[in-house]
Amino acid sequence: MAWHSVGAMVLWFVCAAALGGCGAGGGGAPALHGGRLDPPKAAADFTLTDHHGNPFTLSGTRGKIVLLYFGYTACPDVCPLTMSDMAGARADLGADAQDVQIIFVTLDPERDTQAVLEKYVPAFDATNIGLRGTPQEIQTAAAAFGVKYQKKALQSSALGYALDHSAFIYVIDRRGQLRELLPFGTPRQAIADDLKILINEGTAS
Amino acid sequence: MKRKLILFGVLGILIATSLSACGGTPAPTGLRITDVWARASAMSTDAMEMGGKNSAVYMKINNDGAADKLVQATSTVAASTELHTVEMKDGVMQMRPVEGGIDVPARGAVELKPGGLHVMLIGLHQDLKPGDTFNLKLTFEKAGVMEIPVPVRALVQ
Repeated sequence: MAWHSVGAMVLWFVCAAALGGCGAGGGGAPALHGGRLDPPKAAADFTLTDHHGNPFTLSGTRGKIVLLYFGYTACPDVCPLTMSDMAGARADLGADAQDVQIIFVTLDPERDTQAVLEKYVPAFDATNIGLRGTPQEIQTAAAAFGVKYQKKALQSSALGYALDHSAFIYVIDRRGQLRELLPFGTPRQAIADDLKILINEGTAS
Repeated sequence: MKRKLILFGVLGILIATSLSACGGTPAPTGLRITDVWARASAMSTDAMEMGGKNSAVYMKINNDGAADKLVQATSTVAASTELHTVEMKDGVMQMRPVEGGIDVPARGAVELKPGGLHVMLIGLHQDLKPGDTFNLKLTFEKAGVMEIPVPVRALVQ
């Protein structure tokens, strides 16, 4: 099932991180901060529904650098923190911000209706795109990126249930190549630095 | 004989100090709450179900006195106010209610900060706008109830 691709992704990540660690001492061009995929791997494509209710296909963002994040809006801490750091990093880019697209995919379509996403996602950055779909559609998209998630009932909380989830930011370049996974807690400045590297690569290469 | 007296004397002092440590008279509360803030939220619309109507409060609880415990937080801005924490397990972030309260170490501090311990506001009755302030009541096991003002910070600084 999905665990096969999860395993592959974790392996990719570990290898990339190990390689990245060795390469970083070489000096020269600044390096990306996260677990790099070397060589890069084409980001899996998916089609979901955006926060306006229109179909949205990931490959339609070619030409832009994409920060892709999977979370849920009832999450009060990890998700808004990451959304905030991504939006802050984008804001720090000035005019180059137009080359960057932030995408939030909900793992909780049950609570995250289109109306909820419509309010939540643009609150961090007006250009943000929020995506939802059927549980099956979301599972397929998440599995393609190796996102691990599980609904967890919380008996003693008014929240009812939480979503345990891996919290990487998936960084995709202009050509649709998945370049790195930024772990939870990556500072806004590091995200901005990595975006600058990818922006400066231009559309060629 | 002299030695025995000294021994009794030492014992006496030890017993006296241990008794006073156990209390009788409550220790003066040495709690100071600093670095308090809540994350903005514009999600309180009636149309919303549970999604997104939540936020979190962060703070540093400094303690100059004996060990204490934050056992409860309450506010009027949300339907429920709970103590939560986040832990990374096998690469997965897990948020859970804190069972039994948050320990405040003696002559130390505990920090409620993003990616860890926080006061969770569940089902906001009102939007939390940057610059707004609301009150939060904190109940400590020993120090009792403290009411603090919580300033709201923008989603993106």
